[in-house]
Amino acid sequence: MIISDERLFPYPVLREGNNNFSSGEFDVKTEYGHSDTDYEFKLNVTLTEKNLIDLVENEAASIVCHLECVRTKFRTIKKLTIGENIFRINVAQLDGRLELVAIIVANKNISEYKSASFDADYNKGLFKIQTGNILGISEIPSVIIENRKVNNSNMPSIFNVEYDILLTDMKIGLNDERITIRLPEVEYRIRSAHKDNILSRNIMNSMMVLPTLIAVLHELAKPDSINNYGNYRWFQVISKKLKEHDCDLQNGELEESDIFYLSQKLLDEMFKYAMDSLDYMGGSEQ
Amino acid sequence: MKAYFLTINTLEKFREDIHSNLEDYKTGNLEFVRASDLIPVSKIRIDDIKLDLSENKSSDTDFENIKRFYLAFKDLNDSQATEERLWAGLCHYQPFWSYLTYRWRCETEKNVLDRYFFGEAGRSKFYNGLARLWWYGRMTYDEKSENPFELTEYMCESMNFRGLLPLTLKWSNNKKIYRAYLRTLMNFEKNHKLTQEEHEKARRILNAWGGTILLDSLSDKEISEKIKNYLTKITSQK
Repeated sequence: MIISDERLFPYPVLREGNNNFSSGEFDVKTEYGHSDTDYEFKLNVTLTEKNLIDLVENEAASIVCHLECVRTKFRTIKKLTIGENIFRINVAQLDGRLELVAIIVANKNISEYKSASFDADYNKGLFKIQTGNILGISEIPSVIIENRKVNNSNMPSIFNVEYDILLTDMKIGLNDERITIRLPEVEYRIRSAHKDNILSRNIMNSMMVLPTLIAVLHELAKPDSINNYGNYRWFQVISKKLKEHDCDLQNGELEESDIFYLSQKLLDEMFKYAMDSLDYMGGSEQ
Repeated sequence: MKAYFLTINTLEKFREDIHSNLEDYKTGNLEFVRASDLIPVSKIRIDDIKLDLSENKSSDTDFENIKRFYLAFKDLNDSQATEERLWAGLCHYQPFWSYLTYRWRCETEKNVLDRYFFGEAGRSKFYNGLARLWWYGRMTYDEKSENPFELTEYMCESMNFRGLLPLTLKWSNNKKIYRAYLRTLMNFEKNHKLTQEEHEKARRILNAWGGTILLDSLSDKEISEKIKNYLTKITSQK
């Protein structure tokens, strides 16, 4: 679950940057690691707002980590305490992007919710809180799950070639499981006529896939790429391959990297195969 | 019996060749599939299964076939059940392609893509001809219940309103919430049949509540009580 900054609540919510409270902090730092069977999460919870601490201590509110993996329809909460927490999730329940967020939630109705730390805009008001109301939010970066499926996918398998009669130039689409390369109809027909010949295919791959991948990596270097594309298979495969080349997408390392170089590395020998194929087909003059 | 994956190269080829193979998909005679296109998967154990192809109206077999398919594939885990190579492999393998031909007339390339392949992450679970049998079972099978398929049967009576549409909303990712929702509707409808509009309102109100309430933190009883109160309110306004 991603709770947008834009979401408004009819009562003050302790969240970094929203100015609902004049003081107090709710922050959750996360570390995680994984084996073949489990993801282990280590969450360190800091809560300094006195009224919310009291509510948690009196069990009128709880701190929870909400976990959601849209691909596998996995969604649950884990109860947390202030300080360090460790829990594990079986990887068999996960695939794609795992969204995490820490939330302070009311366990019961609170008829007069108040705090000396409310921002002056709330005018020291009293608010009616229902069971389940969200009282605090701390964002946690999403995790891209690595599993056997990602390891078994190769780079060419994440590209899909289609035609579009309206096009005059090659275009790419990113909002699907595969990266879609759209060709004008005539070029698509030529490509289809030659795709079963391995030599022609090597050359065409180099013409289409390499520039596409360069464009995709530029898109992935943008700050919101995990939220925008993290659930797609192509994203997971590229993320995994980039890691093999010491570039961690989740740490924002792509922005500082040489994308032109990385694209060629990710496609292994694709350019070389294309040139070899050209050489083989053309009977080149020495 | 064994489960089969399509090889990655075959999957790509089949996707690209849908147009030229469309007649074969229409007639259910997938002779273009060769044994070497499929890889047996030793890690997934499947019980022998025979799907029901007996009804004139093929959608009437959904409940029975969800039961049979889900129980046969019960060892599949959620991560494996999002694997296109598995679902596309099974759909191109007998006895399952006969079932797909019986259940749907695939007249267009889009029909074939929807039913034989497993594309976009969200809805494919409930569109692919076989994945939907498993995922509907997964979301409704309640082993704690005296009749574990009670919710499945209720859902199948009106698959779109009780199954497909709520299952595309994010709150349904929590199986506890979806099952509580379905059970409450089922019990409510024992005395008062809900209209399509009331079903839609019920789906939407959970979305609206989710704006300020962490539904996942509520007990089944609390979720059920809230939905029941809401249904009572909207049905008494008629």
